[in-house]
Amino acid sequence: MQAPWRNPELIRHARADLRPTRMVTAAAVSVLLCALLFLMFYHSSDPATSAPGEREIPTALYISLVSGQALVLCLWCLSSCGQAISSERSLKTFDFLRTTRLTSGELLLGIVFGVPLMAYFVVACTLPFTLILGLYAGISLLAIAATYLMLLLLAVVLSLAALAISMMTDRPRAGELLLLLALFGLPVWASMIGASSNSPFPGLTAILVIVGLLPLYHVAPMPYEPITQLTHVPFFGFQVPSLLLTVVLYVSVGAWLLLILLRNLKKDREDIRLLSRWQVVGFTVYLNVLVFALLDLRTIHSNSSESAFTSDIALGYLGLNFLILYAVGLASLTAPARLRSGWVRASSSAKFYWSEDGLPWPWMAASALTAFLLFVLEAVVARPFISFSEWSVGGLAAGLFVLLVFAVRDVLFLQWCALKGFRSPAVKGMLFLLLYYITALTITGFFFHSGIAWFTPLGVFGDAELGTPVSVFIGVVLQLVVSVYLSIAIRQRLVPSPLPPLPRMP
Amino acid sequence: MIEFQNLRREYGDLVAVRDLQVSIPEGEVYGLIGPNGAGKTTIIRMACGLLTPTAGRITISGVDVHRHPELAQSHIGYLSDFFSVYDDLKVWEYLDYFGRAYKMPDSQLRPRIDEVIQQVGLEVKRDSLIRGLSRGMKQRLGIARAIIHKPKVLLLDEPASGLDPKARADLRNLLLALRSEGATVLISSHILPDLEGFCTSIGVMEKGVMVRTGRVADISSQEAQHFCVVRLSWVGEAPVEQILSSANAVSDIAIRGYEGLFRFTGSDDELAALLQHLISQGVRILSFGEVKQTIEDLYLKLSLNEVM
Repeated sequence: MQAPWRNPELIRHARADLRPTRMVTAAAVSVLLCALLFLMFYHSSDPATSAPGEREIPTALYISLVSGQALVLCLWCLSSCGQAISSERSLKTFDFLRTTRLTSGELLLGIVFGVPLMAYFVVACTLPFTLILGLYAGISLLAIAATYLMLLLLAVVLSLAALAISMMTDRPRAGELLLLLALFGLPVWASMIGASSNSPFPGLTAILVIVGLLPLYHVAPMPYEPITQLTHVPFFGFQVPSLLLTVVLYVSVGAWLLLILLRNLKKDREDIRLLSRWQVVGFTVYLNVLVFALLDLRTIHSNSSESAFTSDIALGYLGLNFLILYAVGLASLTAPARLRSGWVRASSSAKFYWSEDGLPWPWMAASALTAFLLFVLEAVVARPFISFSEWSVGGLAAGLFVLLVFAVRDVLFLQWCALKGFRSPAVKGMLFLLLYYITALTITGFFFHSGIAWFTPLGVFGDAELGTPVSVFIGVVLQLVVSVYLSIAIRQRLVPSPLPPLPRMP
Repeated sequence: MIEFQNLRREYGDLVAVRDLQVSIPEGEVYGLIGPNGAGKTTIIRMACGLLTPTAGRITISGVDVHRHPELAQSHIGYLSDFFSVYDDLKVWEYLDYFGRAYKMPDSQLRPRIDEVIQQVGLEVKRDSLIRGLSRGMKQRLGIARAIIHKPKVLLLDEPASGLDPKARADLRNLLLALRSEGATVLISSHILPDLEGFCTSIGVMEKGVMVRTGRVADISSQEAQHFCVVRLSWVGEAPVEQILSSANAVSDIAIRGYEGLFRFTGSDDELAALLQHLISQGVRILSFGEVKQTIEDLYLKLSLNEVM
């Protein structure tokens, strides 16, 4: 690995983006904007009540400038990294990078810090202003340093996420839109869940960087009473500073993104597979452990009866793992050509089912089993709060099995769609499945209530009327029959077809 | 130097390259010819490590391209048909970037940049921004990038596509110079005159299958064993077509004015006898000789005559 300052990709961006004229222009514009902001604040302040030099104005200026820097840096990182690879692909320059000796890590480092280099430069130009203003306003150096370190961490994670999207899409605009929705919508939604009163996951508020930072400025994270408690949040049962949890969340998510990028950055788009089979199982472990770590057992335990609490937790756990199983299945879909070659190589042995080029269902089963074992482990760990017998471990195992059967059926259908040669098979297949679920729910909802458990996994989550053991059992049998049928259809498509005749030799 | 072992690549149901088995020795200039969609680009992209084969193996200088891509790529220089360059860099900066990306030591990189710039004739543009270069100059810069790290193997995918005749001639001269320096070159093209006098070996691709491969001279002589094409010209009125039609081993006669072409399947002695017979019949021969086979002729003989 080359030293970062000798990274060719970084040097390229530095040469292209930071030519003297551009640097001078950017620095002058940044300084001018700071000066204008400064004048605006002093001009608008009432000299009768607040003489210049009072701390309110520098504080307000500091907050405005830091917010501006954060906005510029984050949006710039999202936009530039969101197009970095797709635009190089469309210009046909990325192939040249892929044929050099640069490793994925070197390339990644150069792109993540090189592509938005101008934004970092602009922030660096305005940094002295914020530093002076912050110190003048009486803000501690630690708070200022922590703010900028968190800003850097946020910018890097956003860049990695944008780059991952860019790597997978050919249309940067679509990718950016998707990314913006996910990156801004999800954290806000998650933090709202965390901030609601009696939330089982108060730690989710830490997903917003500002929640962790505000206590450093001696400001409550939220203006109303219960949220002031969020300066410290539970993590694995310990009260930790919210900022620390923010770092843990961002670093861990960043690490997964890094893994995805390092695996795939130099691969052709058709050969991209986000994670290996084992890494997918690892991701299941990560999500389950993270959710358990964020769960505030003490709060819930004090607010509800033990049985209702364990039932809620188990349902939440099932819901989460149903989503994880779908994600695992989607991530494990195998490209038709690789599936065929894997089949030709090892169809007769069990190796095929566990190979990287095999079908997704063994890995979904492995993920479900892992999730169940983790649940048992977590129930054992949580004994100081809830006795082990309160958990319906058998019920959870059965529920997880039912969800696995439904998820496997759907993923086998998606795999069949891929083998059938549909264009965008995953998207088309998902649309077919959506249509199926809407139809099934409408028909059974109107005419045949117990049929919901026959055709959808909702029987696991519904009340006793919807999900009687018999109807759930019938549902499982039906899905197993469909899955076997789909497996046979897939197998027929894997058998090598007779080759077209070779061109005649002269 | 370059070995393809049972190489196969599928795109969905389409087999783009089927069980390719070719070995290209060091110093060889191998022309991969065939119509569009024959699988030429797929082969070159797999050889560069840009595409993963569905099955099979590629080694370059003994290094497995897909097991040790970075090591293999240190031996490879790659150029594709249509590509862009980083317009916001200067010519020397562009080459410096790729030199660093190939991990050349600083002490070697600076002199090498100047050497390569000179080799591709871009000395006057050394400190110019790339956005000011013409298409031909950018193509030359592309070649310079491909050879900056002195690769043992050059993989060129339709390098002359989209170039004007002058730029194509320049490119050809440049490639001839590289050949004389001993580089092993794998070049694909469907513009066959581009490869004339340049390739030492050819491989003819059809629908993902290599239908014939070997040294140009060997294939030519093998084909020449079957027949040759003879061109003749004469002055004055003479029943040339009638005489040729009645001769043995002659077919496919094409006469236009006082010139003609025919296919001859006999021996050299029989050809000499035919010339003598024409003269004895009063035909005043101006020229008479076997037409040298071009790569295009060979391709047309070997291929299934698909639309080029």
